Amino acid sequence: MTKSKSSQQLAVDSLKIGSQVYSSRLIVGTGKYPSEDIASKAISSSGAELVTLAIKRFSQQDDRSNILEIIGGKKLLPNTAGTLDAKEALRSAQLSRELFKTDLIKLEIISSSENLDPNMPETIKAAEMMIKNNFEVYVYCDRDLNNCLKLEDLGCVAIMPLGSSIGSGRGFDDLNDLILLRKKIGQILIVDAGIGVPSEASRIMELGYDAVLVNSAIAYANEPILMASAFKNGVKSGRKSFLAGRMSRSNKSIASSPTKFLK
Amino acid sequence: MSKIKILLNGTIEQIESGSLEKILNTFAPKDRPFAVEINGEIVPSAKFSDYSIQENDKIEIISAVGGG
Repeated sequence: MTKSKSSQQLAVDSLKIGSQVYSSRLIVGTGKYPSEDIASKAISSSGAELVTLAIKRFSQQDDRSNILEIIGGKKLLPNTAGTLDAKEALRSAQLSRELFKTDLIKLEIISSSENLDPNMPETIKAAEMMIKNNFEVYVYCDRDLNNCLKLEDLGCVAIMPLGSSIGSGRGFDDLNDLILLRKKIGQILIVDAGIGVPSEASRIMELGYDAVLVNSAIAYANEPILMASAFKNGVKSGRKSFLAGRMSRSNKSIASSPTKFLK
Repeated sequence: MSKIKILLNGTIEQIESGSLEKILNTFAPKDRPFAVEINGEIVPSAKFSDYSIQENDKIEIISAVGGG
């Protein structure tokens, strides 16, 4: 029997983002876990190959273990968390490059320490500066089509609109916005922020998104290790469904069985 | 040896003047990678031993933490 087109696609369904190739379409964050042991096991259970992390002033009073040991041998996507403008974000990216020896950066400029939604004028300015400095920019952004097109034109390797507010677990505030973005954006599209359960990750993958980024939904689950595994399966399921292609919708019922008894 | 005042990770410290490497032996982590910025400029690790700390230098020692 010959393999169908979708089976063939699935067999080589790697995700290429910039210079990197991944076999997992789930990216996980490494913050907020109840313990270092749970963090390590949940990150492993997720099957993610790429993980986000942050930078901070080192304090000798801080008794936390080395996060790099907790993460294990995953690829690193440092973020610019906590920055409020393009200048700070570039400084954060340059420190991360020195610290982690990577050109990958998750550009994330928040509006304020209370409002974690992206500051888009500064994000666009920072993206331009970082790309000129040869960073591979994965950009956290709003769902505005023009902003996302601008970031794509600038050369960001992944456009990452928020589903809903960071850490909220609300899922998608406006799925129609995200559907429109998938139609118009040719670059890698990843939902970052707001996803609360694996069914939401699956749903967005069914719509043709390339990957999802999840942190709080795993770290704040009652059983983070189990939830990480559930997200792994949810993302895979949604991706397979996208490749398989859904049936068309109908306004009337269409029988799967004979409609007249014994005839 | 004379003491100088520096701003280390936002805190004023009185230290003996000398090389950056000497300061890092006291203040930098031993169990994890770190990066150093002085007066807004990143100092590559290869230059730690040659870099001489001056009065009022602003030094940042940065390491990794979990994040989303």
